[in-house]
Amino acid sequence: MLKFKGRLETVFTLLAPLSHIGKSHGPDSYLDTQDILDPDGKPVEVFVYHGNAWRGALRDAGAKYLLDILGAGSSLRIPLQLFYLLFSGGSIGGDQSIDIEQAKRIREGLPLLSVFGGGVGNQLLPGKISVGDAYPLSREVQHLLPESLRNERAVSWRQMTTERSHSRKDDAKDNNLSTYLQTDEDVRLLEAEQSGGQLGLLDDPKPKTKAKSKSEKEDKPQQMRYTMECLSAGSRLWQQTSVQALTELEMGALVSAIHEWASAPYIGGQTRIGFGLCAADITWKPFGGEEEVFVKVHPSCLELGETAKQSKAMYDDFLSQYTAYLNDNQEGLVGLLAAAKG
Amino acid sequence: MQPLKVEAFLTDGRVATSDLYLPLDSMLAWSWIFEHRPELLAKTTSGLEGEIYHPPIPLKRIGDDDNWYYACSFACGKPVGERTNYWHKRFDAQHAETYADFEGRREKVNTSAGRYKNYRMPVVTYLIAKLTWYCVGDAQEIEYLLSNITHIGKKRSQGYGEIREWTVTPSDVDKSHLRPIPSDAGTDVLAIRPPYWERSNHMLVTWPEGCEELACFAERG
Repeated sequence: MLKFKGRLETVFTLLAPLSHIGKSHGPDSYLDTQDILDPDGKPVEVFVYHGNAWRGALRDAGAKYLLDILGAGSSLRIPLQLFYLLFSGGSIGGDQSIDIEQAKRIREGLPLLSVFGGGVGNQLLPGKISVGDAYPLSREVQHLLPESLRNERAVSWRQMTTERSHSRKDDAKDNNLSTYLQTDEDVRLLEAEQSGGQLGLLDDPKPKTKAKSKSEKEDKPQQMRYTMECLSAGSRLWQQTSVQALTELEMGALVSAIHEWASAPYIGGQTRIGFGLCAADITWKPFGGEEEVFVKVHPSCLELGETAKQSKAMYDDFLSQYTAYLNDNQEGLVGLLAAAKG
Repeated sequence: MQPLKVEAFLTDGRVATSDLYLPLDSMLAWSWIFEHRPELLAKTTSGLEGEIYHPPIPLKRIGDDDNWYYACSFACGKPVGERTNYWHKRFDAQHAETYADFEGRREKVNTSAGRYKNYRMPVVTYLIAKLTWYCVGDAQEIEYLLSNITHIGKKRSQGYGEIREWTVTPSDVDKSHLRPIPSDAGTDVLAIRPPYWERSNHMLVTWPEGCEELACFAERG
């Protein structure tokens, strides 16, 4: 059986600012940093986009791809424990017993889980990839970068950051929108109508008892100005993932995750406002072999290299057979893990 | 077999470990099993019942009775920094709306306790450019087994402890004794051979002279 062993190297090019929060003070947030060693062996602080975050994004994307295909036109809904296993890595619990055959069966039945690992019932299934942090191509990390990405004139990562400030507006205090807001009087009229009574002419239309301070607080707009430190659009980051003995099917599962992520290629936070949009150039460096293009991701454009294409075709074929099997046996996917959970 | 010096040059210097012991024999045992008996890697749960498998790793064994161990030191070196980082695990509520089937039960998930608890976990990392081990063994076979070790320490799946290069060279001096040695007069209780998490491998030990070289004893700069 073909085994893949080597490294995937990714260069992210930010097409929008990247938010990846480490610390926050009040409404202001700052980029996450790590201490690493500089070329002289001295500690230096540098921004990193965490490998764990990238790993989580790929795990989610791979699970989505799997369930969308198995759902054959609609998304397959799965029991909560299985959902947690696929999207978050699961958790371990139950009796302390080990079943090697079961572990083997799960790896074969769910290649995606074999790649990322997870806790299945009482068993911890180790993953097969180590996903490293993504470093900005800055002065501090030049010694870590491949030769082709080194640049003697690179600036510090601190010169690659920017601040973005936003306001959260309290629309309830906007006079142009107040027509749509239910008032206290509206509530009282509604209550009176529902109880079948009528408001007396002498009734005070305003609420009888209301603490002044509370009233003043409610009248004050609940707005907020907040600022985020971001890595600027245009910055590039380099990341590598070590791959340990993946079968072709498992490699296909990994490609499927990248393929799914490519449909919305965002990293980091604040994606709701377009942050983190990026392009990604991924190369495959097999142990002792020639480097090749693996996947190129640009918004609305995806290109698979030969190894990625072949592996994904094999995985897709596996999934189509699995889909047909599920049509006849609805308990198939769940059944695979049922013994583990029991 | 001959006295050897094994050096690991770290990519960015970060190793996630709470004790800095980092025994090399343990890594070689893992690599051998990974290569020849990968199905045994499912046996990672502590409290495991049954016989412990000892792979034939290319290191000299010392002692014949239950107190045997490998002629292989713990990691030597001097960290230049220490920092606590955090990793997170969260329940994916957004995707749960589409893909989770609550099977008619209340669609609420407790993420503050229990099976689906969200985590913010500290991970202690040390900064160290190079780690050195001393052992008595077969250089060529050790080199081969080390080719499977791309990362060391904890949280390797998140990229911590990445190794840029391994070197194995003959050593003029044998410092393979720089490790806990089983002794009834010992004051510490530590495992003496892989798997180091296995309780039956724990016994009374002493630390021999010269252990200041070990990373776990080194004064942190």
